[in-house]
Amino acid sequence: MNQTIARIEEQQLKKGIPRFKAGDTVRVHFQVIEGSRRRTQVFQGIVIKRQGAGARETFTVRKQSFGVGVERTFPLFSPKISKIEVVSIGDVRRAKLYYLRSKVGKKARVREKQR
Amino acid sequence: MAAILGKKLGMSQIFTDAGDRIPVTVIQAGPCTVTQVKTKNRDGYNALQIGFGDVKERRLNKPMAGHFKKAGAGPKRYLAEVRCNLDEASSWVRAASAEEKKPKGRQAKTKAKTKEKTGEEGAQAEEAESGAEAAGEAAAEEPEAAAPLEAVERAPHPGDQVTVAAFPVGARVKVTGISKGKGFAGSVKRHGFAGGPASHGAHFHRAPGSVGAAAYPARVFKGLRLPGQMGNKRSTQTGLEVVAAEIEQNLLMVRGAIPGASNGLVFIQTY
Repeated sequence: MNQTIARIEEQQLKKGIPRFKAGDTVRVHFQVIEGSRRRTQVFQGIVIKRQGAGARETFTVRKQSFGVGVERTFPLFSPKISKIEVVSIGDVRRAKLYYLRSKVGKKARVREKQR
Repeated sequence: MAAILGKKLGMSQIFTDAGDRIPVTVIQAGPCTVTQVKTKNRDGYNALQIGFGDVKERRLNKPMAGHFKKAGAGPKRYLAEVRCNLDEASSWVRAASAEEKKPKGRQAKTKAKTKEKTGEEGAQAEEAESGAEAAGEAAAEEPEAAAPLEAVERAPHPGDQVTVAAFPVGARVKVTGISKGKGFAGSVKRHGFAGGPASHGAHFHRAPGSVGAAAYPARVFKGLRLPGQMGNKRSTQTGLEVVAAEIEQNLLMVRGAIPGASNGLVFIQTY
C-alpha cells in the first residue's frame, strides 16, 4: 500500500482495543443516534471474522436473536464503538467461522479455551 | 474555477465526527506551476497552462526546454491547459513565493511590479496607478493588470503556483483521468447486455445477438453497441466532493472513486 495512505490511516487508529479473534465472544457497546438522542446499544455474540487491515479493519459478530441468526459487521476503529468487552475466548481452528451459519442449536457453539 | 494536476495514490476511508465512514480517493495534487498564460488578444482565447511533476532537464527536447525556460519554471513532466477567466484566476493561482525564481525574460519588470504590488497598505488608488503603468510596460502579456481591485490580486504570471489550498473542503470537483483498460470486451461486459442462460440446453450465452434486420435496411445502423475496446480512455467523474486536504503534504481527499489506476495522472477542476 502507498506510504502516504498508510500514514493517513495510522492517524485514525484507536488505542485500547482489546485483543480478540474469531471464535471469541464479545460485547460491543455501540452508540446509536436516534434523532437528537444518543444511546449505547450492546451487541453480544461470537466473532465470526476479522477482515481488512489498518483503519479499514472490520469484524463481524453473530448471535441468535429470538431464534434467528443475526450478524452485524462493525468497523474496528469506528468512533461509534465506545467499548469492546471480551466475554470469553473461543477454541477454534480457523480464522473465518462461516460454518456456524449452517449449524443450529448445540452444534452452533464454540468450545471455550481451557487455560 | 480552480484546476490542478495530480497523481492518484489510491483509496482509503475517513471517519467523520459523527462516526460515519466516507470512502475517499487520495490524490497527490500539485504543486503546479503556471507555464504559460494564453490571452484572447494573442492566442484567441484565455487559458492558463499548468505543469506538474519535475523531470530531468536532459529528458526534454529543445523546444520544450525553451518553453520552460521562457516561463521561468523548472522542467515539468505533464502539462495541461485550463480555459478560464484570467481576472478570476487570482482566486486560485498564488504568486510564487519569494525564494521562487521569477520569469527570467521579464525579471526586472516583474520585480518592480511585485514590489509595488506588495507595497503594504499603500492606498488602492496608488495601486491602480502603478498597475496601469506596469501594464503599459508589459504590454500584450496581461491587459488585465490594469484593473486589479484588491491590492494582492493580480493577473497570473508564468511561474505562479497552484496548490491544494485552492480546493477548500466541501468544494465540488470533477476529476478527469485515463480509465483502466479492459481490452477488447464483449457486449455483456462493455454495454451491460444481459446475455443468455448458462444451462437448460441454451445455445445463446454471451453473444451480442442479431445486429439488424433483412433486405430492409440491408445494413447495420451506426452506433449499434458491439464488442470493442473498453477503458483506457479519457473519462471524467463529475459531482465529487473534497472531503479533506493536507496543504503541506499536497494531498487532496475526494469522496468516492475516480477514473484510472493508482499512480495515474488526474486532472481536478472545481465547477
